Amino acid sequence: MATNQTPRVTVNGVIHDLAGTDPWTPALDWLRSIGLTGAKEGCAEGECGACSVMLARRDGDDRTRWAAVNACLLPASALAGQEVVTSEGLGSPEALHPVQHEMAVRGGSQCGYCTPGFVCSMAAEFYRPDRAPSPKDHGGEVGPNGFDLTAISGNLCRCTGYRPIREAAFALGLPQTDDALASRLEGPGPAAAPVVVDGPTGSYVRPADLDEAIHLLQRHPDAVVVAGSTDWGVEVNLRGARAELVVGVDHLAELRAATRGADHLEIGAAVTLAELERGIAREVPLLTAVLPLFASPLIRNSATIGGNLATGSPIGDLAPALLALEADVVLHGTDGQRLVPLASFFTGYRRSVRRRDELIRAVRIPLPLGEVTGFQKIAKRRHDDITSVAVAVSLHVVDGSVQRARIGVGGVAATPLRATDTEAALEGRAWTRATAAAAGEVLRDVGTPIDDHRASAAYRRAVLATALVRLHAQGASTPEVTR
Amino acid sequence: MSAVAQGPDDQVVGQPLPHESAALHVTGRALYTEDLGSRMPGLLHAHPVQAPHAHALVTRLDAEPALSVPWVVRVLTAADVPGINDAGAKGDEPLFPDEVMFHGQSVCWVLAETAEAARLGALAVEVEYEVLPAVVTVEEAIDAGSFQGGAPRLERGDVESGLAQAAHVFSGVTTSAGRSTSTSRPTARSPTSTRAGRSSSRAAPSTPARPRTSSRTCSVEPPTP
Repeated sequence: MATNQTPRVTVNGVIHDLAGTDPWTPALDWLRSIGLTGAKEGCAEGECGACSVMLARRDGDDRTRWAAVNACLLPASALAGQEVVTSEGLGSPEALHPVQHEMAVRGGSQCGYCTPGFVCSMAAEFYRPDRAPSPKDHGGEVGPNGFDLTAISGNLCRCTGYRPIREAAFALGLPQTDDALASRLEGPGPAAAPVVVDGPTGSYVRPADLDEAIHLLQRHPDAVVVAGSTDWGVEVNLRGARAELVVGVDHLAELRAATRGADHLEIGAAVTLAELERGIAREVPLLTAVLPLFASPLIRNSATIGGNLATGSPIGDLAPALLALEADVVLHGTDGQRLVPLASFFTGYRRSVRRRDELIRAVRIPLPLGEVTGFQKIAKRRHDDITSVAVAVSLHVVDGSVQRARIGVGGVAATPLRATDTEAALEGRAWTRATAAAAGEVLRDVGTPIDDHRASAAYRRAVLATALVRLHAQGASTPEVTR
Repeated sequence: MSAVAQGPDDQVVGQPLPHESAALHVTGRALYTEDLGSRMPGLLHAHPVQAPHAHALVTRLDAEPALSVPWVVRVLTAADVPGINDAGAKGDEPLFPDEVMFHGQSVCWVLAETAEAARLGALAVEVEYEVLPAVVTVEEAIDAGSFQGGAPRLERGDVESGLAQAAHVFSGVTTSAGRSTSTSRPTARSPTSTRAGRSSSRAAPSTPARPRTSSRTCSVEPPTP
C-alpha cells in the first residue's frame, strides 16, 4: 500500500493539508473552500476555462514548467505533493503581476468572471520556457513577443470580444530576472510520492508503481482510474458520479516513458497530450496534425493518450488517428502484458476489451509511417470543441500507387472505426483525385452516423464523402478544420 | 498637429484607464454572489429538482424522502409561496410549476447545510409526471403553427408576378444547427438562501445545465445580509 504521509499541497507558496478530502472533490471546489474564490466555475466540464489555475510540472529531470489546467476536472487529492498558483497568488491589487497589469490597463476584463482563468492561462504562456520574441508573422496567432494565442483557446469570454485580451497578451514582455515564478523553472518539478488521501466517503490513492496499481484494481473492481481526470471530472460534475476509491495513475513511471524502437514508437499511457505535442508526436505528422485541434491546451495539459483511449469515446480525436496509424494498445495486468490492436480494442459505446484489473501501459505505433497522412476534424469551432466527424488517413504510396491505406473515423458510430471498405477501394490504385473521389463515395457509407445537436447524419455523410478529395488536394499532411 | 489632435492636457481619450473593478478582477479578489458560500458561515445551499420532460403535468411531488438525507434542512415547494407563485416580478414563469414548460425546469428546491447534501436531497425527492405533447423542433413548430411572436415574412413588391416572369426559379430550404457560443453564462445559477430563508440574490434563468447553489452577478460588493 502507498505510504501514509499527510497529504499536503502548496498553494501560492502556502502549505495546505488535503486530509479529509473526498476523492471526487474537484480541485476547484477545494480551492474555493479554503477561501481562494478567484477561480470560478463556469461550465464545470472543462470548456470555459474560468477555473484555470497553474500547476508546477516536471520538465525533464531538472526543470519545471508552469502548466495551466481546468481545476474543475482535477480531483483535489491529485494535488498532493504538487504546487499550485492561482490568480490570487500571481499578484495583488497593490502589486499586479505583469499579466494582470496588462489585462487591467487594456480593458481585458468586463464582468470579470472569466478573468482569473484567463490570467492563469496567460501567465503559463508568459513563463513558457521557449517563448521568445519573433518578428515572424504567424497569421496573427502569435504576437511579436512570442505569445501564442492558442494558449488561451480554452478560455471563453462573453463580454470583451477578445480584442483587449489579445492586446494584453501581445503587450507582455519577458519575465524579470527576479521573478520568483520564472526562477522556479530552473529547478526540478515537484515529485509525485505515493499518497493516500482519505475523505468522508472514500479515498484517493496514488500508488507507488504499476504493480501496486494493478493489485489495487484487483482488490477493488469498482475503483475509478484517473490520470488527468478530464473525462471522469465531467461525470462527477454533471452526472453526479462518485467513487469510494480513485486510483491516480498519472505519475506512474512505467506509464510515463516515450521510446523509439527499431520497428515502433512506444508512448506511455500517462504521457499528457501536451507532452506528446512537444515531444515524440513531432516525429508523427498525423499526430502533429491532430494534437493542436484536440480540445484546448488546458485539457491537453491534463489529458493523457491512455486516458483518451480507455474512456472509449466514439469520437476521441486521437483514436481515429491511432487507428490509421495501426497502433497497438499495451495492456498490463496481473498476468503480465498483452498487445491488442486498437482496431479490436473498442467493443461498444465507451467499452473496450480492457479488463477492470488491467491498465493501458502504453500505445505502440508501428514504423515506418505512411507517406501521405491527413486529419480532418469537422467541428463548430476551430479550437475547444467536440468533433462532429473526424477522419484520419495514412497511405503508403509507392510510385504514385496506394500500396496500403488505413483510415480511422470518429463520430459515425458507437466506437471509432476503421473504414476497411474505403481502404480496399484505395489500395492498388493510383493516388489521384479520381481515386479519392471514388473512395469518398465508399467512405460516405461508413458507420451509422446519427442526427444530434452537433450535426445531422446527412451532413456527416456529406463531409465523409469529400474527406479524401480534400486530403488529395492538400497534397501534404496539414491539419484542417472545417467549420 | 492640429490643436484638436493634440488634445487638452488632461485628455482621457487614448489613455489606459482601468475600470474600478479591474484590479480586483485580474487578481481574483472581486467577490461574486457565488463566492459568498465559502465566506459567509451559516449559508444554506439550494439544489433544484429538475423535470426530465419538455412538457408535463406534475401529478405528485413527495419531498419527504429528501428530509431523511443527512444535512437536508427543508424542501421548498409551491406550498411555501405566500403570495403569487411567480419566479419574476410580474407574469414570469411560476417559481414552482404544476405544468412543466421546458426540459430541466425546476419543480422544487432542496435546502441543505452542504451543496452535496442538497444534491443528494434533490435526488431523493419523488416526482411523478403526466407527459404532455411538446413542440421541440422548428419543423414541428411550423407544422403545429406554433410561433414565438407570429410568423414573420419578408417580401417587397409583387412577389408572385416576379416569380412568374423569372427566367429561372430556384427553391430550397436552408437549416442551421444549434451553435454553442459559450458555456460560461448558461450554467444555471439559482438563488442562495440564507438561514432566515431570505433570497440573497437574483435567480438566473434556469437551464438544463447543471444547477448549482448560487447565483452570480457582476457586482463586486457582497449583498447586504
